[in-house]
Amino acid sequence: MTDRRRPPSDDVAEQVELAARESYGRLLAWLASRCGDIATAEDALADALVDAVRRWPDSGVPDNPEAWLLTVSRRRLVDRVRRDVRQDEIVAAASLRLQQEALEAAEAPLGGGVPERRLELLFACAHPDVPETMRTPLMLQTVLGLTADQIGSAMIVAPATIGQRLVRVKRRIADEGIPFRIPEDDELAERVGHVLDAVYAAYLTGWDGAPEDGGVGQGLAGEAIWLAGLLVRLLPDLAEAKGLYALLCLSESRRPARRGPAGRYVPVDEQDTDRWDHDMIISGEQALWLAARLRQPGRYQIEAAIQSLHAHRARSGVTDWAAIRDAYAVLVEQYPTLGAAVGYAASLGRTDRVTDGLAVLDELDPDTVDRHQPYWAVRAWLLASAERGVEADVAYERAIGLSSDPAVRSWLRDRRGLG
Amino acid sequence: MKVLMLFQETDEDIASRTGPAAEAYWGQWMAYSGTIAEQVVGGNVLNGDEHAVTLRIRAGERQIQDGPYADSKESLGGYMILDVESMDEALELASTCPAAATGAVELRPVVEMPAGVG
Repeated sequence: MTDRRRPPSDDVAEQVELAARESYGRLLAWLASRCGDIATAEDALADALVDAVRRWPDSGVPDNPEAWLLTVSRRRLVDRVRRDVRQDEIVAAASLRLQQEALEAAEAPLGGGVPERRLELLFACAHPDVPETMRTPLMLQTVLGLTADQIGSAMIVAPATIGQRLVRVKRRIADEGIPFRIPEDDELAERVGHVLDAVYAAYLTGWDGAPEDGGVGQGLAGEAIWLAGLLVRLLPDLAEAKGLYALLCLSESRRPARRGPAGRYVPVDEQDTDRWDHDMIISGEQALWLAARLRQPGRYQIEAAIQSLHAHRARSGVTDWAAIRDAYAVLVEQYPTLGAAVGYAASLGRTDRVTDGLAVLDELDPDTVDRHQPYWAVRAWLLASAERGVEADVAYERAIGLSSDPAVRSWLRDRRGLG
Repeated sequence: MKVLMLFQETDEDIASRTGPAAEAYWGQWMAYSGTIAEQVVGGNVLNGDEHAVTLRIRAGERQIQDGPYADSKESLGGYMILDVESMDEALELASTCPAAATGAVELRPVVEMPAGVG
């Protein structure tokens, strides 16, 4: 007995977790695309993972854990679909046919590894019939297997609430028959946009985090970069997927430098470039270059180009604010967003056009900027530069009140003191 | 809906209400409450745990002890009552609270009493 391959049980738990992390999205995507029902697919996969935890300590970890999980979860899926068919006596003919097809597909022999269906799953998650606020949570749960706790924490929603919303949206996908397929050419660009936006939203949840906490405070930045990388692989001919990946890499490369001595906040143009992650910059620059070769301009490529201009300071020693301003001008004109307008206003201020910068901010809808911290921080700085001290003070106060990071708060306090 | 927002503050937070850090302490709270003024119905700052007194009556016997009911690392440093659309909104408003970065912010929906009760 002792010479049998039998690792200690927590080692098995670790192996299950490893197999799950690597394979979860791939397995779930395949199962969900077969049965059209994410919740049922999740249950089947969960059953298989429970089986693995139960059996692997005795049988040893299989040579190909993913294939094992696939076989077992397919069997579980068939069981579950059969049970549902039996339980529900009045099944609509269409739904029955769908389930029969799912059964046949699930039972059909399969060669090699798990077929790649994650792109189909991503398109279902970001389908126009899925509420915009639920697209990112749904992707994070289905493709990466994140829990409601993890998702809720990152997106500032109570875990129980996000859990209920996920259940509802999965039911809706099953009931309305939202397809697990890659859209046709005529709607592909728009639908891809929704997928990219949802991944970008995941990245932004981690942007305010402090870097020195060792993993804490980064929100879902790592998960978002992983998803963006996956999209680059799944959509090799789409420039914007590379653009998004480049944007995330270039932004993330600066995380280590966003804190100075004693945890002080350091803005981008004052950061120590030696502390930037230069491998990350290279990944970003390569992706941006490959995107440009495809000659399909887009929002994420322009945003990545702006971050690339910031990154150039590592070589040139100076920030080319005029070039950054010109890039923002294109962005604001072609892809207007609140963030783009605020960035444009700041770059105008940096190039001695403070009044123009304030004019850009004044045009924004007061309701949408009300709780947008960057708007108030940039506005305060522009007003101070225009020697409108009283108004600057009010704006600084608001920016400080809207900052969640104590380091940013004290940085803004110091700035206000200088004005 | 009304939501009670409880601020659990660390000993250092409460100590910094006076002395050299006082300006920074009160400054961040003023700035924060300014951003949520529209949703705040009321609230107060509370003195730290060492000022708390807790009373219980058990089997007709009064038990009075110094200190808070719940022994924790943080003190209940203050509270606000918010009038918001949802718990999502309350959480969003709590996310920039100074106490969140050092201590904790607890949100408790207030039970809406039917008309005629209370």
